[in-house]
Amino acid sequence: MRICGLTKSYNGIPVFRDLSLDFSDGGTYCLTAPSGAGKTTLFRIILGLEEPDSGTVSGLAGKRLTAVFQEDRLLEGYTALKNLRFVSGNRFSDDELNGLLLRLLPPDALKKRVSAFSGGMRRRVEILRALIAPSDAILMDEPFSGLDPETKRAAADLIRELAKGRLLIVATHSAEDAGLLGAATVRLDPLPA
Amino acid sequence: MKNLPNRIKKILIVLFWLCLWQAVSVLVRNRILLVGPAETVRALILQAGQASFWRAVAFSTGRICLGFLLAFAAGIATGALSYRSPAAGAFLSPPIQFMKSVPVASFVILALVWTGSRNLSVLISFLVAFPMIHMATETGLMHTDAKLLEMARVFRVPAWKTAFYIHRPSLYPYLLGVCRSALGMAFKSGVAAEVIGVPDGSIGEKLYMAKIYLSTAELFAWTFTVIAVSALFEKGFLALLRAASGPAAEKAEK
Repeated sequence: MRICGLTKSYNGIPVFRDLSLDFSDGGTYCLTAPSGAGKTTLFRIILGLEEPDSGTVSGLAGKRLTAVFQEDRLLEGYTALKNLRFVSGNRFSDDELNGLLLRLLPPDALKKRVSAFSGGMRRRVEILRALIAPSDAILMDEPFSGLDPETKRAAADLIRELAKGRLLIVATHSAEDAGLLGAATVRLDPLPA
Repeated sequence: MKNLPNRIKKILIVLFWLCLWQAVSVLVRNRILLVGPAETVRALILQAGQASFWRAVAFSTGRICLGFLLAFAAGIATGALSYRSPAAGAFLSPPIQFMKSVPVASFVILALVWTGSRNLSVLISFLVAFPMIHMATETGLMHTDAKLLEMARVFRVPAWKTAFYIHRPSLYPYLLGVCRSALGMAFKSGVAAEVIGVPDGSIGEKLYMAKIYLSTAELFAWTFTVIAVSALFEKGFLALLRAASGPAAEKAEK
């Protein structure tokens, strides 16, 4: 995937200007940047949810993307399994999905609706949802926010295992996340004020 | 009174009003102006023993419910269409506004000319309920969580799944609210239309006859019957709606 000369501003305030980045198929990247540097905006443009002012994103034609969004976007009234089923199609059986959920959640959580989950538990369902949905590339916006070191490690292990062979871009504040995921670091610097 | 359970409180309140009603009817001492609850119940029991009573209840309830159910299906379909296509919404807006604002009596007279009196209540209950359900559907769909819709778009979730898991829960609170009032309105206007059109064997005809013969007890008995039938259908329909809405129903009613 190639990002070429991308510029985006809101109400005349530029988020990034003439941004160019290259990501190779099957690669794992950590996009590190401080808050406000435009990680989320960049992801939204890649996902086709926003248009850039100028520039192009190429190499995504016919490719499927999945994402962990910056904030939780789960189906509140349903269990974690139903939330996974919503996107998974028939690629996994219920037993397989429950097995994956159990690697990230306590067993009693499987019976509960996600509306009863803590922020961290919801985040883990989001991560798993992005991983099990059929896709060629996965974008994760701050996937580890709200996770303690132990669950973060478990989530990172699962990401490495299930995202293998697909392009994975993880936006994060923390440089150490690249080590956890075995990812190449790409720095997105904020525009000078 | 403060420490009484709610159920007992409600019963006591109803009893108070029934006693007041009975007392006023005794004071008035005119069976044309006002009859008491005892006489109303007596008239109701008398009517319920006749096959024609049940036939009239079935005739009117069946037609009014049919009109409402047709309005429910059509209102959801056109509301969804308006949500999907603003051009279709703009196209549908004038007839919807027209149906909303034209007095029921004008519709009744028009419908008498168009369809005759037999199926009048089907048409009138449809015309009353349809715009309400259409608008509630459109509003409910417009208030669907945009972030969830984006998520479904990114994950390329099939349209039916998005409708079932994202739109349906967002629609439920709007439909619940509107169906409560639309059902009551459908029964009121349906019976009112029958009183004007006087179709044979309908509740409207019985009410009309009660008026002609100045039989206030019968009038009250039929009124009570309409209220009871309307409440029963409302309970049954809302229970079905709740069941069809899944977990969204519980959340909306909390």
